Amino acid sequence: MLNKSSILVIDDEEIIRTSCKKILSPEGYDLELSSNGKDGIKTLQKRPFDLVLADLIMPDMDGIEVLKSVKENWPDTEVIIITGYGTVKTAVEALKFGAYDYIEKPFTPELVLNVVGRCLERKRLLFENLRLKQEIHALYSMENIVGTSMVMQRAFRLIATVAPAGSTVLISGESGTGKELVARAVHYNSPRRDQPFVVVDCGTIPDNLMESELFGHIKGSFTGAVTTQKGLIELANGGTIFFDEIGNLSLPMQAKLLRVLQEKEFRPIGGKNPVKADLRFIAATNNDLEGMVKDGTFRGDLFYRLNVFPIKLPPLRERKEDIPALAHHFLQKYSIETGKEVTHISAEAMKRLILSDWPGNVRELENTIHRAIILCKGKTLRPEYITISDRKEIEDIPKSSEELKEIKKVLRLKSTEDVEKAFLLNALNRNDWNITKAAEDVGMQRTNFQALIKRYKISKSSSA
Amino acid sequence: MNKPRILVIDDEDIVRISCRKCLVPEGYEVDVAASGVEGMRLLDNNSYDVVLTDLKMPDMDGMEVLTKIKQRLPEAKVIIITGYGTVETAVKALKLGALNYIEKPFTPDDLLAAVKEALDGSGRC
Repeated sequence: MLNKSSILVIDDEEIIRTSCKKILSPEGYDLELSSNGKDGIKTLQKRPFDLVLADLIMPDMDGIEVLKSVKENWPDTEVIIITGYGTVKTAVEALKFGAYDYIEKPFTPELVLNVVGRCLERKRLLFENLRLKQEIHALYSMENIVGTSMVMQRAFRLIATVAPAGSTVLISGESGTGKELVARAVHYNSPRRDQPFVVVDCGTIPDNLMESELFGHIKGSFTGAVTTQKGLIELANGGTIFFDEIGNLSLPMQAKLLRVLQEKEFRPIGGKNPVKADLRFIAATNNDLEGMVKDGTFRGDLFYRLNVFPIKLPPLRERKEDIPALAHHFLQKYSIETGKEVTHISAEAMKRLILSDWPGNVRELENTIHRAIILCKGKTLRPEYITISDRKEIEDIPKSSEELKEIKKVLRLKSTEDVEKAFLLNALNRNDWNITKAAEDVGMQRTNFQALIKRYKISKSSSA
Repeated sequence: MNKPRILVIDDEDIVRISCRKCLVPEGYEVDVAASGVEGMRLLDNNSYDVVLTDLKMPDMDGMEVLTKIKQRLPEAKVIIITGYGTVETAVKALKLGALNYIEKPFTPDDLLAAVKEALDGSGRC
């Protein structure tokens, strides 16, 4: 498409067809000529063209009719009208019907090349834009939410059902369970996918700024309002607005939000007239909103408006079977991001990941893998690189090689301890707590096995 | 149902008055501005369904008004009205996002039809 763009020239005057050819052929365009509208359309039916140059006044089928036909049947084909009888009326008509430009004869070669060039460049950019949008859609389609467990399958079915419907969705789940990811999946699988997706982070926007953030303000409406600013609701217009941590909204803001939901309009601070709001609402919370309603800290009427289609996301500990897939997903992601080729997770490391309860859920797992990759030497992620915060280990990345050495020492000790302990318990459980059998089962000397049990003070009663 | 709101920006008294005379009886609410600057100020504080603007005005010409409006409010419906219509400016205005371009003198019917077309959204997509 780049330099072999195709152009069809339709003009009843031979001299125009010839001069167009003289001007455009040397530029490498794939050119075809037609002497009347009907033939031109027939040619288009046989093969697509990037651009049609059409004369306005032609017997039989004039330029506007050609334009209308092209736009109806081949909307991606651009049309430029050329005419010796230019009038404001026909120019306006042509542009209204979708012509890219309107050139008056006599024209210079430079003008034609210029207009054609710009037109085709614009087309290329639009195509590129569409391609990128599709990439984004692919990214936020449900394939990118990882999980084959029953609970996730149920969640996927819910997303698939509600996304095209356009109804308000309330996503609940612990912190780090992927609520924003689900909200995006709903948006990108809805008819509003090409419209904006705006996130309102109720957890971080201070109360006193929330109204202005949401509704915008008019210049001068309060001290500090030095310009007119559009609010998030207006920026989202036509698309989807996502309220994250909606339980954090103050009661007065809840009332204002309810009004937008009900009236489908809002007023910027200092504005005289209401502005229409055509939005799809998605909200997320890790609070128990129903409990908050009972306490009086969340409005019941707003809750019922939001709770139209609830989706509950399970904590990671309830879907441990998804941990390997998630871990590999993040392994791939951060390997690429950090440029380090880490392609495997050792069995011991994976065991560690599965054993943890992940109070921070998927986000914590993601951060853990990310850190592990940074610390990792070699292609395999070993348990010593895995630091999980519920064991009150380091949160920060070590900043000097001394720090690194220390941390690695501690980690090596701690992580192998846990894995060893789990390993022993597992072997004993499998063998009815018969130490001889267990030792044989794992291929260890009885004396060694027993020593380990002693070290970890493992006993049947304490392992429950 | 709220009345549709129209903003008319034209430096000539007579145009502002005749637009008002034509549109108000048809159920439109009309605000007027005598200059581009005044028009932009009104747009800051209010929302309009359609904006009609002249091209040749002393302080800020219609093209600049059109450009500025489209920057702030991409979905705004703007119609150019002008006594000095040329193919060049018509093409330029439509490309900048104007929905229509009417030459003066225009009849009340012309004006009403253009406004109605803009409101119906049956203009350009």
